[in-house]
Amino acid sequence: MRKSKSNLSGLRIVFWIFILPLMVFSSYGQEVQKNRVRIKADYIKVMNSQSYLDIKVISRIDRQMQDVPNIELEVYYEFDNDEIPLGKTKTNMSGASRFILPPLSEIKADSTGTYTLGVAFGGNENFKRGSRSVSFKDANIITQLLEIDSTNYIKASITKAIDTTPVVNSSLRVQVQRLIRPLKIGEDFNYTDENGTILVSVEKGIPGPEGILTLEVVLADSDDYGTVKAITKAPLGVPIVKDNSFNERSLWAPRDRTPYFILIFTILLLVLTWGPIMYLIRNLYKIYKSQ
Amino acid sequence: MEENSKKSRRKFLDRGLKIGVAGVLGGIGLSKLSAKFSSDEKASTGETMELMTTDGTIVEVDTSEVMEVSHDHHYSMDYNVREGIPNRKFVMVVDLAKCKNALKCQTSCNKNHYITGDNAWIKVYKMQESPDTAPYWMPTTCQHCDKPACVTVCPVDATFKREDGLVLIDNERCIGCRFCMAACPYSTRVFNWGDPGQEVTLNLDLTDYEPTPEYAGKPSKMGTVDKCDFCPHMVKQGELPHCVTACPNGVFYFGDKYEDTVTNGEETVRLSKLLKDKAGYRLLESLGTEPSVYYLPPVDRLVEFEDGLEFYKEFESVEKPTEE
Amino acid sequence: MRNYDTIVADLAPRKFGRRGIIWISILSLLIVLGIIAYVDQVIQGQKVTNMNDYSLWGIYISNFVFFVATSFVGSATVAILRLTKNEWRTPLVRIAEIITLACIIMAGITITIDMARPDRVMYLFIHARLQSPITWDIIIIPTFIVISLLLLYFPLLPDFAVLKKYYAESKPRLSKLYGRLSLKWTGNSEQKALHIKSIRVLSILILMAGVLLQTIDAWLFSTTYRIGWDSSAFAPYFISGAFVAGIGALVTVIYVVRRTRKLENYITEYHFDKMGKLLALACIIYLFFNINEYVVPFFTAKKGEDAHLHSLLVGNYAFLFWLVTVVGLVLPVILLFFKKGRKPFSMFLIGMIVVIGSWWKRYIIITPTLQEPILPIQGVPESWHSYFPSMHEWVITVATLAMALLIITLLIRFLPAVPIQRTADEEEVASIQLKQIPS
Repeated sequence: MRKSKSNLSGLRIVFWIFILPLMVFSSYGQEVQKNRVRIKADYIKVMNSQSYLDIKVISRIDRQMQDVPNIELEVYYEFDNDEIPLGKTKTNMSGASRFILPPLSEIKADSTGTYTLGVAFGGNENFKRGSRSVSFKDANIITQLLEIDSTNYIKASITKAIDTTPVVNSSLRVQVQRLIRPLKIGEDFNYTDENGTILVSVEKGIPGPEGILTLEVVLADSDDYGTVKAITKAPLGVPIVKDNSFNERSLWAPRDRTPYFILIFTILLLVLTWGPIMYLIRNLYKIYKSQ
Repeated sequence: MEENSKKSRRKFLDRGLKIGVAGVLGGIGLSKLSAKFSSDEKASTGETMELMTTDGTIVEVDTSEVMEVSHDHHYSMDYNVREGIPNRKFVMVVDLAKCKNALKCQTSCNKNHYITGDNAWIKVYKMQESPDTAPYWMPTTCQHCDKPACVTVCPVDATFKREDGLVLIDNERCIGCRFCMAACPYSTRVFNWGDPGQEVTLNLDLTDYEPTPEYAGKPSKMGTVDKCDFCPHMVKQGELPHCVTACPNGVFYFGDKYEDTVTNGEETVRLSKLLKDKAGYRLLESLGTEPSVYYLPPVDRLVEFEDGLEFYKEFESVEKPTEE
Repeated sequence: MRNYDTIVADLAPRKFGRRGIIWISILSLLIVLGIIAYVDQVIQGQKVTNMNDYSLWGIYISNFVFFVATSFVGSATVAILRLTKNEWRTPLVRIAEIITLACIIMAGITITIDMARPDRVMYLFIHARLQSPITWDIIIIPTFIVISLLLLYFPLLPDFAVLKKYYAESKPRLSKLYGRLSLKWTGNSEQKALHIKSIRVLSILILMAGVLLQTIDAWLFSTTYRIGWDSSAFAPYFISGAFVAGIGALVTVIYVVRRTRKLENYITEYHFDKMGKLLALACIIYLFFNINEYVVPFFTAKKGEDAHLHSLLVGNYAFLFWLVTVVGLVLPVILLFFKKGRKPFSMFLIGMIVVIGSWWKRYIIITPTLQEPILPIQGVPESWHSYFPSMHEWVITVATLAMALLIITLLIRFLPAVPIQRTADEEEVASIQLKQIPS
């Protein structure tokens, strides 16, 4: 017994001799090895509405890509090698943040009309500092609804904001807004012609609330212009027909919508049994009283 | 008791609303707030509203700072948990031709619904109707029937059908009679025979969770029934149910029948066209349960049935955490 | 001809003998064990049972169905024999009424044992949904308890008056209690008129409620899509089965009471002979419904039905199935055809077999069906492919049976097991104060 105990303590010493330096080294290493953040930033412009940056921060931790929540980011624009701050934002639980940009008139572009925005992270105890910049030119999409030979079309034109010249041969997506993902209509790729224009037919029978479809024409993730989106409400769909059977009385409805026949049966059953029971109890009382 | 549960439901709704608004608008509230320092051209309306920020604190911001930006959800977040999201009718389409029993749906579902029992909410059945017909893999979720047999037999309104198509369970109401399990022809319901032990097995802190039929199976309660809920907590945020996003083969499509649109994350298609082109059908149609889940037959398969055998486990659907 | 005093002395309740005390002690012990097991089940949850997501109901439910079925004996004998004016019922009805009351009370308790959240039992009333067959059960079971209580109580009124007088000197306190219970019964014409009318109403009421109870019980199962339950003939199937179980139980209890209380002069071979014929009739009718239930699906042989039948006829449950059908149903019919088979002791044995067969029959109705779901059983532990009750389930179930027997025993201890007044009337030795009263 005793012998084995001393053996054990001997082992322990050997163990510590080997382990201690390792531990010191690794903790030292950890201090140096902060994780790097990867920042993604997409510029999105919605016509007649707002422009914003969709920011996503991830990091490779233990060989796995993970979202980085709750870190503070600074948004700025670059002009003349200067960084002019626009504001701060913080990532949400899934490492994303949407930063609403001020109107472009308040941001200075260079001589070619290119805007450069930056997102920077100052670093903290877990992550190293990092930044990302995104450059784009301003473009506009104008849409128009047409009816040709009783077919409905949506016509969209894209022009550069700086000189209103058309953006030629770029692919625009046409889609209907939907709950989760938009529903594409027309071809997968609709390339603009020399006038920067596309013409896409809107198929019949797409349901929308009161027959109104919210159509989007999107220039997606363009290198030059970022994402530009024009939203149009078009009365080109069929009205949604709601199934109102939910409000009917049914077997699977909650109890305030019990079918009448079940109510009647139950009441009948109760009357048929409890009526005589009451009568019988009354008889017991009468027997008791009659002498 | 009723009073109590009502109160807690309202409380939940209230909170859900805040979380919902915060979720949809993302960081808008905050970022806009900060953006304000540089651009101050918008006049403040003087009205304020409460918003929950991403880190859970409530801030009060001027209503002019909050606006919907990209996506206009035409449904309100302020809905009754027992009635559902207004003007929606959720459906799922399962394309059997694409399923090769990768079981990512099951793993993801088990994880995200904190399942601790022995029976998963989503099953992938190895099916073969007769020796001469082709075998195939058939994933099943709750079918969310429009005429649900389980709801019919529930004596206490614990399981209920919502107007948006979902069949959910209130595990604060369930008395554990298991009649719904006997009634369900799809054997989709699972029971918490013992203490689910989510806080033990999954290291969950359940002290702050208020049970609601919409809260992703958390916390599960001993002696009550659970089942696939079509992930309303995800749909509310405009996201797809976990099984749909997890599937590497795009087997599951999810969407709103009223919009005639379903998506598997990769492609978004019209429900009617999909069902027409691929001869969609529903399970056990003859029973008249009117499921909300459609199946596309396993024809022109891109995957080999045999590939799935590798992952097939006859006696397990929930992987137990390995003890160290 | 016996005189009135001997009849009263013979039929008045008596203290337990040594055997009686042993019997009560055993029953009490079993009940205590059951309560301990039940408390453990409430604490740990129903994981202490061998039920699972497929075999989601087990012996708690089949035991419940058994109790409900056996409680039909009140409707079967009392009401039917009374309405058809079968005079030989006199010494049997009281025991039938006692069994009915005991079994329906136990049915109510057993169904609560199956509930995994007994703490929420009030929800069944607060949040009741009338579409659910369980709610119908919740309505009919308490109703039936009240009716069977009344059915027991009304015919007892004259007997309580008799007992009050009988114990007036020897046990004044007991006499006072019986006097209270007799509701000042004197047997005057007004009381008798009310009595006759009430009992007639009760006979119809218990018959109607009994049929409703069995029907609702059958609908618990046949309103599902389950193979083997999804049958439109399930209600009559259950009613005829209840007939068998009830009369089987009655024969058994009567034999024991006859032996222990030495009532051979009151419950004669004639009575057993009559009951034997009734039991044979019940078994034949039940056999007919059994053939309906099993032979028709055999012809259509739908896939699921086929598998279900296979498991019953030659598969996992074949032994039990044939035991229940042949020994529990066919054999009794054959034996009961012979006059010797209808002698008291052989009737007792047949009654026992029929009751045990009836219990296992409920098991055969509930368990195999659940193992034949429409979609295959996959992705669950191997043990979930079959079901056999756990120790907890057995202990609790045995306790419920013991409790039923205890209720019966105690009621027989304190009530006259054979109606005194009516027997006296039939023997035409009515005393001066208490004139003829049809009960």
